[in-house]
Amino acid sequence: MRRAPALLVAGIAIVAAWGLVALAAPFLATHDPIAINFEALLQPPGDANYFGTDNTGRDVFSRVVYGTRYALYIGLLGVLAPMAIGMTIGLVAGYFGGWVDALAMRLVDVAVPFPFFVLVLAIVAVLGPGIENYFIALALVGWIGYARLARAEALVLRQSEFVLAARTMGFSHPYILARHVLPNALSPVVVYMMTDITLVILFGAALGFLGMGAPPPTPEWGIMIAEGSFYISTAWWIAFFPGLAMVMIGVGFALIGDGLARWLRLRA
Amino acid sequence: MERLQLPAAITAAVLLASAATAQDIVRIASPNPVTTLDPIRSAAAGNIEAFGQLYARLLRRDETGALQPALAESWAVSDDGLTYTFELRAAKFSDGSPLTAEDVAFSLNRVAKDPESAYPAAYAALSEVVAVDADTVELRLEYPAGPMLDYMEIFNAGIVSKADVDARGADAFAASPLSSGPFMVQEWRPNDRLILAANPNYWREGYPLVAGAELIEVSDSNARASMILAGEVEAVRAVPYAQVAEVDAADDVAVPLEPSTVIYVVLPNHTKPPFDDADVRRAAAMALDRQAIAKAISLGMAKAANSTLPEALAFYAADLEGQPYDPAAARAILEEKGLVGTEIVMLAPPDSAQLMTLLKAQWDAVGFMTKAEPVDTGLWWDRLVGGDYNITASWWYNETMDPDLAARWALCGSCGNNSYYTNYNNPRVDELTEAALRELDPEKRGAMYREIQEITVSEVSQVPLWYAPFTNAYSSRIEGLRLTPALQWTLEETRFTK
Repeated sequence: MRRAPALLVAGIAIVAAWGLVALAAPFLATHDPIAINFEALLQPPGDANYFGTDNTGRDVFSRVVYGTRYALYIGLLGVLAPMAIGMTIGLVAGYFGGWVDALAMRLVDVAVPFPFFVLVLAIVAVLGPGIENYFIALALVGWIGYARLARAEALVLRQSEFVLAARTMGFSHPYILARHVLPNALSPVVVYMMTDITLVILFGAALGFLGMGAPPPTPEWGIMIAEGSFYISTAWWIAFFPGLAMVMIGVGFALIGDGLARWLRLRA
Repeated sequence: MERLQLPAAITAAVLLASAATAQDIVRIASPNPVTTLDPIRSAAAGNIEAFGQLYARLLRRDETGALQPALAESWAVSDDGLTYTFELRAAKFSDGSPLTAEDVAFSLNRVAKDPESAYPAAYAALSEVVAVDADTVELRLEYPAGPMLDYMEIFNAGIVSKADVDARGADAFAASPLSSGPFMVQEWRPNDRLILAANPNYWREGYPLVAGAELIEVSDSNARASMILAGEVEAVRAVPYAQVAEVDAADDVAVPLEPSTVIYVVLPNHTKPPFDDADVRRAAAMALDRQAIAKAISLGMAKAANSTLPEALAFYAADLEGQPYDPAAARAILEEKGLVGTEIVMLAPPDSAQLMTLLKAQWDAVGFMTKAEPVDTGLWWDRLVGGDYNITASWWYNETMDPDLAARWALCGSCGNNSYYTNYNNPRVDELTEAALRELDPEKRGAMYREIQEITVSEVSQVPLWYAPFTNAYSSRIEGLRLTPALQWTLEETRFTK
C-alpha cells in the first residue's frame, strides 16, 4: 500500500511537469520554434541555443518545448476514440453474451493477427498523411485491447449480486450498463490507457519520422528525429533531445499505469 | 532504423568474408537498383549505370568529354545532315561471335522504334538504320538533328546481339545478356547485386584493367558510408552531404565533388492562381536566397543555380543573371497585387522537410501563406501531373549532355511533358527547341539555347535552386574511377593501386 503510490506519484509528477511545459511553452521557449536562421545552422548546444540548432537554424530547445504540445495532444486525444469504441463493444459483448458476444469477439479475432503499427501505417497510407488520419486509424484498430479488457470485466460483473439485484428491480439494460457495470470495469481500462498513451505518442512520432504525420515545419518530435538522423554523427543534438523528451514522457505515463495497477490490486 | 540497418550489417559481414578472394574486383555500393539488363527498357539511374558496362556504343567519350571512335572506327555525315555513315571495326560479343552492322542496325532500330523502348526521345529524327554491308551502317534521318552523333554514345545506344535476342527472346536476354561492353554478366541477383566479369572479347584491347566489378544495391545511406569507411567496397554512390566531411576525412577515402546534371527546382503551377501570373512567380523567386539555401542544404558543396538548365549540359549559360534575391521587391509585388496573405499549397514529397521549411519561411516572410502538405511519392506525381497544387519543389537530371532532351522535358510546353508538368507554355521556347534540334551549327544552337534560358529565367518557368554535384566516395585502393555527368562509371579504365 505504501510503495505503489510512490510510483504513481512519480509518474503523475513527471506527466504534470510535461503538462506545465506544454502550457507554458511560449514563456519557456527562447526562440520562435519555426523561425529559420541561415546564420546559425547546426550550432552545438550553448548559451545562445540550449539544445543547439538544426539544419535550418531553428532552435532545438524551443522546438522540443513546443513539441510537448503535439505529443500530449496526440497521446491524450489519440486514446479517446479507441477507448470509447472498445469499451462500448466490450461491455455490451460481455454483458449480453450469446451471439452479440460471439460477433464482437470474431471481429476482434479478425483484427488481432495484424501487427498494430502495420495496420495503422496502411490506413494512414490510404487516407493520406496527417494527424487527423492517424486518429482515424487509431479509432479503427486501437479499440481491440479496450474491448477485450472491458468484456472480461463485464463477464464477471453481470453475475455479481448488485447487477442481478438491479435487474430484479426492473432497471433497463442501458441503465445498468452505464451505472453499475461501466464504473466497476473502468479501473483496468484506465491502467491500460496509460500504457496506450505512451504507444500512441511513440507511433505518432514514428509517423512523423516517416513523413506521414504533421507537415513541416511543425515542431513535432518524430519529424525532428527524422531530420536529425542524417546528422547523428556530426550534429547529434538535433535528434537526441526530442528523443530524450519522448523517453521521459513515456516513462511518466508508464509509471502512472504501473502505479495505478499496483494500487488498485492492493486495494482490491 | 535498426531494422533497416540489420540487412546492411549482414551484407557487410558477407562482404567481409569474401573480401580476401576479391582482390581484383571493384565493388560499388549504390542506392539505385538494377532492374533490367536490357538497355532499351529503362532510363532509371541504377540501370543506366549498369548498361554502360555491358554494352559498347558506336562512339565513346574521353576524359575531356570529347567524342571518340568506339565500335565505329570512322564516320561521315552527308551535307544535308540526313545520312550518317559509320564504318565499324572488327569487334566481338562476349561469347566470341562477331559484332556486325546487322547487330548495330537491329539495336538502334530497336531503341528508336520498339514499343518497349523506355527512352526513344533521342531518336525521334531517325527514320531507319540500315546495314549497308557487314561493317557499314547508315543512319537515315527524317530531318537534321544536331545532337545525333552525341546520341550514338548515350546509355541506351548500346549494341546488343541480334542473334541472341532473336534466339532467346527479349525477356531471357534482359536477365542474362550477351555483352559487347567492357564487362559481361557473371551473376545477377536482383535487389542485391550485379556481378560483372571482364569481357575477354571487348573491342578495346587491354581493357578493362580489372578482373571484374560488383554493383551492390545498398539503399541506406548510413550503411553505404560505413561500408566505404570499413574498406568493404571501393566506391559508394551518393554520400549524404552531412556525412561527406567525415567520409572525406578518412585516410584512404576521398569524396571529390563530381559535376552532375542534377538540378533542384521549384515548380510553380502555371495554370492556377497566383502562379499563373509571371510577376507573382518572380516574387516567389526573389523571396528566395538561393545562395543561402544551397549552402544550408549541401553544407556549402552545391552551387546556387542561375539558369533553368543544368550546369553540366552543353550550351549552359554560365553568365546568365538569375533572378535576384530581393525580398523587399517580392513583397512590393504582392502588395501591389493585393495578394499579401494568399494561401499557397506546397506539396512536400518525402525527405524534403529541410527544403520545405526553408521555402515556407522565406515565402511567408514576403507575404505568402504557405501550407506544406506532406504527400508520398505516388501522390506527389498524381497531383503534379493533375495540376492539383500551387507550388512544389523537385529535382531532375538529364541523361545526355546535349540540352535538347532537357529542354523538352523541363521547358517546352508542347513537347509531351508540359514543362515538367508545370504547364509553362511559351510558343517561342517551343519553336526554339525544335529549331535548335534541327540546327547543325553548334554556334547557332548555342545562341538558341541561350535565348531559351533567358526567356525561361525571366518568365520564371521554374525557380532554379541549386546544382547538386555527385558526392561519390572512392577508396585510394583504386584509381581512374569516376562517374560522368551522364551516369557512366569509368570502370574499364579503373585499376588497383595496391
